Amino acid sequence: MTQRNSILQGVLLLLFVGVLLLVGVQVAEGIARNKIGVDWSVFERKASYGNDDVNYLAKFFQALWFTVRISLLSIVLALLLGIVVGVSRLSSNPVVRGVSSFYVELFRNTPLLIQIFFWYFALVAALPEGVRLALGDALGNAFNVPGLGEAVIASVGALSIYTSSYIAETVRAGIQSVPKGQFEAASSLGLSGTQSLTQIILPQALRVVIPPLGNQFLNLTKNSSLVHAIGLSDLFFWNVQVQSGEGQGVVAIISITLGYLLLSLTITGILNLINGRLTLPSR
Amino acid sequence: MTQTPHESKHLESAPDIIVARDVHKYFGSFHALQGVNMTVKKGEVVVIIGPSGSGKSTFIRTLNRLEPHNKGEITIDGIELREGSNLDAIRREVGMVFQSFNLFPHLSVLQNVALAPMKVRKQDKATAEKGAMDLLERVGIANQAAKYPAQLSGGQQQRVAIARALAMQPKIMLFDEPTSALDPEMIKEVLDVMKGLARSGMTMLCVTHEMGFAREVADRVVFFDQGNIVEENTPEGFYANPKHERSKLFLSQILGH
Repeated sequence: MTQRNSILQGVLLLLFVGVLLLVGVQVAEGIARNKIGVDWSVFERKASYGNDDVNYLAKFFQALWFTVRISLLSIVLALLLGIVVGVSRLSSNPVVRGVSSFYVELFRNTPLLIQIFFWYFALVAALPEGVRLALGDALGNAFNVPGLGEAVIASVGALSIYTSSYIAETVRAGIQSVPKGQFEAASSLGLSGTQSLTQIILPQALRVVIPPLGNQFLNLTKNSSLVHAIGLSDLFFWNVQVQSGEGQGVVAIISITLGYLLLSLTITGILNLINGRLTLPSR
Repeated sequence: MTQTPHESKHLESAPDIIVARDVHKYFGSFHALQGVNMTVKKGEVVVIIGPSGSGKSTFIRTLNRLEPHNKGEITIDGIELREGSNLDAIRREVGMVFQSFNLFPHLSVLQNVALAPMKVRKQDKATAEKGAMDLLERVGIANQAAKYPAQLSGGQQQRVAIARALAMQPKIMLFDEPTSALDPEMIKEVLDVMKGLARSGMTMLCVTHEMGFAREVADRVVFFDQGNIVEENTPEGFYANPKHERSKLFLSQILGH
């Protein structure tokens, strides 16, 4: 780096730090002027919700863990569904192609919150009673929210299907990026259509789409904040409780922001690791 | 005493392994194959040449149905090539080598060769890999077995592609301009493998302009133009004394530079 270049870099860095400081000072002054309480000891107070008699710190980690679990389960389902629908979008069967196109356009073009409500109030209720109760019990217990199992079904269903519609498009683009010669080579060796897809095409397509898939996983994790609307105690639900119950909005917002940031950076880190592992050696 | 392929092979008494009758192929309104007739004997080595767009690649691609023909009849080893269930059976008998290699980039060289025997022939991993190593030995590339395709030179990749096709123990090998994408210094190593294969008695159809290869191992040269066969000749006859005006013009163009 030339000397002139390093001076320029230094000036830019100073400018950036200066702007940050300015914003910080303004916010702090605003908070003081409006007499908004910022009391970090709220973490030590006993939580006003739930019946497990713990403080807000313990509740925070319960909520974070809930968000992790509901996101992970939804990510796995969304990926599987997305691959199936993405492959179907390229099917030679016009019915399969049409249905999967309809699926994608329906679910990616309606608001997720509406889908969550629709699942909660219509679809889950329409499940056969035995299935609904058994699945609800199982999921409610697995997610430590006994009695709220049906909300978990609705949330996982809506989050995974909504996200799968985006993943399907990503997977389709990935498949189309694999050269036609790969399919020809596989066919000429006598591999069946399914074998060509699973052994040759998808392993290459999924490598290409790891970065955009990561975006969808991040979106899903952040979108999971909507499940508080049907009463599930995720990170955002904790924030609502601390704001309305304890009047500590600033503490609540900063805390969950850091919580979501931690989750997102972890996902990004894991995907970078996977991406590095799967990168093919070349000369 | 040197033997030409014709004397050593007794092709007259060999059975027909490929019979194509009146094969037509359209790409939209373009009439790519206009009634091609060709019979190939078991063990015969046929070199197909012709100008770009003459239908020569399309023709050999119809033989394993990478391009389904629109009209006419193709019979491979007694099985007629039709829409339906016999396709897998035929593809197992016909190996194909492409201009652009088309190796599977996410699999090692060894896995590239062993994959089809495992998935299609249902061999166990050890057997398939042993067979794959033998073939890699045969094409002179066994020491690269653990590498990935992108780590090899073009000539090495094409030799792996030949080994991969041979792993299915095909009765017929199709070569679609196997040396056209190679740097000049790598052409020989691929042609040497192909010559060895020809001498071993494999039935081969090669779309290639490599005259040396044709002269050395081909039993017949077939010249395509405008979607059909214009001339069939012995290699010696074709290059020294082509019968057809189009062949003469074409040869003067590829040899004249």
